[in-house]
Amino acid sequence: MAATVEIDEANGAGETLSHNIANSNMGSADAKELVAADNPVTPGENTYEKWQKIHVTNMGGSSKIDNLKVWRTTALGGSATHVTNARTTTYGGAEAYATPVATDSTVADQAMPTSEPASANLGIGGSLTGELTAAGSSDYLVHQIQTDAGDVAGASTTMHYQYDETA
Amino acid sequence: MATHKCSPCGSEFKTEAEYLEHACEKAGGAKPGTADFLKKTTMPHYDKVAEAAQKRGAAKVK
Repeated sequence: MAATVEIDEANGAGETLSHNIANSNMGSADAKELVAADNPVTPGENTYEKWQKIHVTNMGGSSKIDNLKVWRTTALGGSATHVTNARTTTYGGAEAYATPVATDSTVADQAMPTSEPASANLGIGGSLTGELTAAGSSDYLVHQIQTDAGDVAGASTTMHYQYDETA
Repeated sequence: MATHKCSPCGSEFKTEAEYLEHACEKAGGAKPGTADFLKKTTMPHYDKVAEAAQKRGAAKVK
């Protein structure tokens, strides 16, 4: 049996952690599984930050989960940029939850990779070499899309959340 | 302290342990932490995804 893993997302001032979200839609509201068409971003402004975790809910007999990698494929609309706290070097450690904002993120300040990183870019226990040997979660992945004033349309893209599982 | 919510069924819990122990009505009573929970909520193709991942892993080990 393989480990069971879900993606969780935190929202609001009180850190409501929604487990096993169905999508990572981003827009002008601090909400999980939002409808992008109902929450459009004004050109030149940002989406609300996403605060998400990779959550191992059951090891399923495996001994270790590690090497967490996060990236996005498919181009964004217009000149928008996608920023994150995920990175393979100078990792900032585990971020303490803060209410998601739509101003320029001070936590997510590096471009989201658009292909699989060569090594882990999201930590466990504050470290990129961290590992889970029992059910538990990654550090928070924080990301945000920042649009340009000339952008007129969004885009449908794919987020990848990858881990290594050792039997 | 975070409040925990099951996204598929909307139930709220004070702790993560309580979340993991609940029988999700949207998953036919399956609990989080089981493959059935994922299959009946966000990952209907769980079996194919798991099989493909295991093949990738086996190839990586070789």
